[in-house]
Amino acid sequence: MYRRLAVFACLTALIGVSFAATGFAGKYNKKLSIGDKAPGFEAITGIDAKSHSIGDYAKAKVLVLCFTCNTCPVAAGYNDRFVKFTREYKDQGVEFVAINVNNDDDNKLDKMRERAQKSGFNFDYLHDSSQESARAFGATVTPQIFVLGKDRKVVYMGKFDDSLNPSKIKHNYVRDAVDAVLAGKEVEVSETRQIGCSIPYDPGSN
Amino acid sequence: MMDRNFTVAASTAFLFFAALFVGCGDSDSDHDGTDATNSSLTSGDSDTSGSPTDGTEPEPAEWETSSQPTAVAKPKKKSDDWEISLESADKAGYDAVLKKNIGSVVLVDFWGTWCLACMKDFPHTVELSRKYRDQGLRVVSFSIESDDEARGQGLAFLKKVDASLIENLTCSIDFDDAFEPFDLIGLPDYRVYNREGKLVKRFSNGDNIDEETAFTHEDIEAAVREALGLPAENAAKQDDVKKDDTKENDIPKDDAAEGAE
Repeated sequence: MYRRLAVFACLTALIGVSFAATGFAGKYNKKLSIGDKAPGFEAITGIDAKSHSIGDYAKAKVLVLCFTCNTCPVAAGYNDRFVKFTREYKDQGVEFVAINVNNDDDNKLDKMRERAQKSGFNFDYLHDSSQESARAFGATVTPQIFVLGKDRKVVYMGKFDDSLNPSKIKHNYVRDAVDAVLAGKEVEVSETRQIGCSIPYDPGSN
Repeated sequence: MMDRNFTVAASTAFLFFAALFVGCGDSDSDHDGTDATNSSLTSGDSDTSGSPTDGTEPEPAEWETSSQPTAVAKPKKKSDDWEISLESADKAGYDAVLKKNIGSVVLVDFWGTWCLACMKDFPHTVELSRKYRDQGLRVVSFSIESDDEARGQGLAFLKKVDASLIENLTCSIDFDDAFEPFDLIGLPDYRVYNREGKLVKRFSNGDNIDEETAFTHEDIEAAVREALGLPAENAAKQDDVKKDDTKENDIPKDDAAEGAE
């Protein structure tokens, strides 16, 4: 009996070590773990018709990347919160960047401009038709947020907060993560289950 | 980071082995769908690849011995006083419905009126509910909604697409907390349970990032057919083609013979 337990413990430890050594994805993310260097994005077009890359935001102390879209009701429910967040954190060296990878007609740049105007977006809203950025980040739904520290390592990923209903929010995960980074503290809740509309990846595009 | 990884990894490994030791295939947790994503499940003590012939084999019914589906079940006409209803259910209610349907293959379609892809794809679920009803398929729809108004819209939609052969449930849990108990991320999410009530296949739009996890309606139907013990539809079609080829081959011979006469 003891021998079996010992073998079990050894196997457990060995597998644990091998997982830790090779690294494995987050609880809700197949591609990234907390602490990983963020994959970035290169030369994708914004609603300002300019090309944007992750390097453009190099000066930001914290970069908040949000995969979102025009058409998801859950994402739409967060637009006001994204605007408010940007307004409150911009001066603290925090950049909020939204990326849309949906390729249907309602999510093209012209429609994105309409959405941005209607919702008063005060942040860059980019369209990545290749969908490579979302795939690299392991994003599966909209909205899905990644908070990157100064070294552009992932310090938080998941949902923006814990309620679709603004009056029911108990945990502001993104704000808490950003506050922690700005204060030089460890992020307490670093990963949550993202909730929203599935990103419609084009078949065979990866 | 390394320490955290090690702790999580060790816990994962422990849970894995613990599950293996106790035989994870026999508990109610088979219903929670947390163990498989778009792949066949394996358990500690039996193959759960989906075919009723793999595990405890039930008495073969007449349809099981036939390679061809019988006539497609027709939904009841709206004039037949058939009320399409939407029953409220939590996780226990969901598990109870699965338990009630043990003996049948069950396809669950997790959806919501806020999910455009779900609405677009739902008619395929309706089609499967009709096509395989007589073969022993039971279809459950489970909607995740933000409020009662949305649930009402959901019911109207179910009536519009005539989901009369589907057991339609709506999640009673608050939207923010509804995803965790069912291990959901993005919708739609489809699950196929075999006749023993074990989850044998899962197709999740919240996990569609890779080629190997992307899926089509044909994949869902193929999983349903496999769980029902039916041959793959393309194989069945190929058989038909062979038969047709034979016939076609026969005809020219006859024609040739006639021409020779």
